[in-house]
Amino acid sequence: MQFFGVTHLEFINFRSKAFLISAAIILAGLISLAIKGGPDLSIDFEGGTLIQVRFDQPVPINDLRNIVDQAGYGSGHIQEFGEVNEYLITIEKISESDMASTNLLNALLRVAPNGDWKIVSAKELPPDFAAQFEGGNLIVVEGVEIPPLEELKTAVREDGVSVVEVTQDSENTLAFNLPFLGIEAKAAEKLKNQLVSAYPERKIEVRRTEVVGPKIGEELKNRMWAAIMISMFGVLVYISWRFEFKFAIGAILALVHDVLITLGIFSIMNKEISLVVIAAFLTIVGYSLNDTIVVFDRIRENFSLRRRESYEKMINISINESLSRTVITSLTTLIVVLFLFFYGGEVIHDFAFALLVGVIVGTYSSIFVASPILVEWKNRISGRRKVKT
Amino acid sequence: MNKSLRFKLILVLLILAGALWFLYPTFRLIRMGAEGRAAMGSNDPEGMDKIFNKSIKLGLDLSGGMYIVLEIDDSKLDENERRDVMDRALKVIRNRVDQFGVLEPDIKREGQKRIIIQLPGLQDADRAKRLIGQTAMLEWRLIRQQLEMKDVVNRLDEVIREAQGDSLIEVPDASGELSLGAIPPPPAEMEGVYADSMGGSDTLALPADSAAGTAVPLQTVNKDRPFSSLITHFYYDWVFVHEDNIPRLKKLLARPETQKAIPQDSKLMWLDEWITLAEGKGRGKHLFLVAMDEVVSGKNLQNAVPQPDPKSPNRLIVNFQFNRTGARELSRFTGKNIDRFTAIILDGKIKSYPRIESKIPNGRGYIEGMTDQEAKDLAIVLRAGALPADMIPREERTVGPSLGADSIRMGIRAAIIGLIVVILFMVLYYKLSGVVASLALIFNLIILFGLLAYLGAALTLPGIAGIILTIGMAIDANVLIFERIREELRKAKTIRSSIDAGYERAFTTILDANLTTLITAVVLWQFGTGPIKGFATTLSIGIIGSMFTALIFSRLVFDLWTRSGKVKKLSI
Repeated sequence: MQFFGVTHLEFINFRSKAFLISAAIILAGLISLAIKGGPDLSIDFEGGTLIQVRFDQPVPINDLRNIVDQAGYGSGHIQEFGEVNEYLITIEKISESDMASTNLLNALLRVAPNGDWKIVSAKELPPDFAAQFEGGNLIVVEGVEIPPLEELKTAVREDGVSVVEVTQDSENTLAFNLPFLGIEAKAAEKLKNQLVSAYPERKIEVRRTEVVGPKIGEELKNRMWAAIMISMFGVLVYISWRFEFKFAIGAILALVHDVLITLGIFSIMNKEISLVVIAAFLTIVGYSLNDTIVVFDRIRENFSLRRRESYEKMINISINESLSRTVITSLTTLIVVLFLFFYGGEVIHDFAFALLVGVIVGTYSSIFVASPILVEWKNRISGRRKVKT
Repeated sequence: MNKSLRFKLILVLLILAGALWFLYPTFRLIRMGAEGRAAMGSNDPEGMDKIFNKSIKLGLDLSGGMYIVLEIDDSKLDENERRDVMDRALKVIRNRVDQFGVLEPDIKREGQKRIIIQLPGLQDADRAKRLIGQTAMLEWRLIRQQLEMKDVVNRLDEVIREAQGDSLIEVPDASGELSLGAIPPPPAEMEGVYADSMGGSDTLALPADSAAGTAVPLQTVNKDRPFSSLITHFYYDWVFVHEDNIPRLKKLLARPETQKAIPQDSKLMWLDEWITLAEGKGRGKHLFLVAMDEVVSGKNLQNAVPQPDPKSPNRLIVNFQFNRTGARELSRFTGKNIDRFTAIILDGKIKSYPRIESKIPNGRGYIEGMTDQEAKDLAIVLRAGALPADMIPREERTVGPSLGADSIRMGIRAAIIGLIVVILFMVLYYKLSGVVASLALIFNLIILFGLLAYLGAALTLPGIAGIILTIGMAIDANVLIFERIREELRKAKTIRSSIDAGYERAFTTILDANLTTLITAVVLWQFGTGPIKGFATTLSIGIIGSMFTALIFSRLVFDLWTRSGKVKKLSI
């Protein structure tokens, strides 16, 4: 059996249209990202709490909403997960010290409006059992016309913010010691208890909980950026070494193209970027590279075989020659990714979705983006330089 | 058969045998089933450990379990303590987890301040958290006597009255009023004789007589006595506060002027347990004035065991035993303070408050007032020793066993269906050559699983996804070769030379394509954690395996197949 014999499709001539299509899709994604204020990062990166619960029979999602609200997590997000009676509740972490400093600043501005108050720093203090200190937030504020400390403290307390201690650091700065709000630290446990007490007659199974501190999330974000940057750089170096620098540029631009489109589609579809989705992105990078390299390899080979052909024609022939392989490999990969998407379970659904988009876009980009960029590069940059010299 | 062909054949067979050898323990483990495993675990724990260590491990997301990241808070330690705080913390946590009885725990440090703990197959995550994170600092302090307590209470009344002036800050709301009558009955727990739990007159016991103590009549908050009017009752050397009044009292105590009214060398501390009042009058807590100037610390603790409480055999208490140094300290402390009450304090909470009846020379004591589970866990943490610093939980993930099982089931299903469809497609498209490619694919999977077992790498859900992806992508190397062979055949070359040329031409392509993919996989492995690492592992092995199976194995099959020269038409 054979899908393609020898083909002579004009891929290179199609390139301006292809670029336009790609640009339009990327633009749509970027607009969505801009409107939504960047990608929707999961608690892996933002910090927060996630609980996956299963009931023995369906529960109205509005009831769950009320329970979560009553537990004090109005910003919580509830979704049905996989089966009908399974739900995912996520609460994004509002930083403990952020929240405390906002509260404090508002109170200060109300009780001493002439103070021109500013937050200098805010940090969490861990508990100290020996000193019977239950932990808290240390918030340093700056202000003018500071009233007597005791008076100020009493006023702030009356305004509803509990203060353990206030000390004067310098002429204009005060250090406030506020107790822990404890809003998220025990969110998982609190929610669990609330659910159990709200449905005493139901069987509730907590299938998964995740609690990520904001510090860890922040670090993970940096690590993932580093991972993406380092792998891009590694690829750039490898391709420059094995091929030419312009091949590396073509490959990297194709990668950026693939990731931008996938990221945009995730944004448009309101899907969260979690740790495993980032892993999927890196896989897309790997897959798309694989595809692109195969075509490049053909170009490199034809470069020495078909010296008489024009650059454009030679690249077009190379794409055509590797077309059969590109399609078959994409097809087998697409088959397994489809099965992963439909049968792999809810937990890796987004991962499989990212791969699904990535495989399609990656195949497209190795044919319509990476190789045509070589032509453009040759025409615009290498070519121009030749004229000059 | 020529030399290089024979060499390749031997290489392939060796690798196949090696991979199967590595997989054997996993096969055994799966065949055993849960019961077999339990049986062998009790009969031959060492052999079981061996099988376990050599089998493919499941990641926490598949086996169910808990993953915690703890950060050491060394802000209160000095230079010297800071140097070895990590090693000490690791040792203590390992000790505790060992006694907790989790199969295959994994505890390791990460960076300067963090410890990662993985407990597969764990059921009770909340309990594990308590057990691991508890500082477990045990102290033995003196409780100040009644006169001193009264003094402090009076002074507190005074300063609060002054601070409030005429405008009460803490206006009592009517609903908070108590109407227990003039003098509440003594709490049920205080009745009856406290039997000697340690068997011997050297231990501490609470007095039997509960009639002693000065009662403070219960009223609504009184402007003249804003503090003491919240106190329900005076017992011996301490006061009792009803649950309804505790929040208000705590608020008063949080004020700076009240803090100043308490002597520097003393501290007000609550009992860590509710005392239930008789006749449904609710419950409350004791409040003690604890001396801060003298302490017998628990760092010299030698042993701690949970034992039935002699005065109510249904409950457990924790008996502990000091070593010689600690016993000497305790002996001096108790000898000096006979007839006084002491507080046994764990992590800043009063766990019990025995009266010293006589000098204790043997260094024994007990902690009471907890559930059986808590008593067992407390004995564990006391035996394992106190953590050298507080631990802040930074990350915590738990997966229930049912979710893990579901994930395995779904992952395996997706993998098998994917494998079957890919094989069907390959056989349809490339005929007999497709069969060769399918064999190569299966061989690749055997190598993959074998290496997973050999490396002791955990299989995670993203890891299964990596395998599924490998099924789709590993075929690529063979596709590249087959397409090349077809091309060469189209040029009307002979079968042998077409195969040779096909492999030769495809070689650099396969190398370049796979190495670039490998770069991203290795970076992912380096930077990823837990599940992501599992994904990078399977993907990397899959890539290397696919290069081997395509370039060596399938080549070998083609060579053996066409060696005789009798094959007239290549089925491709």
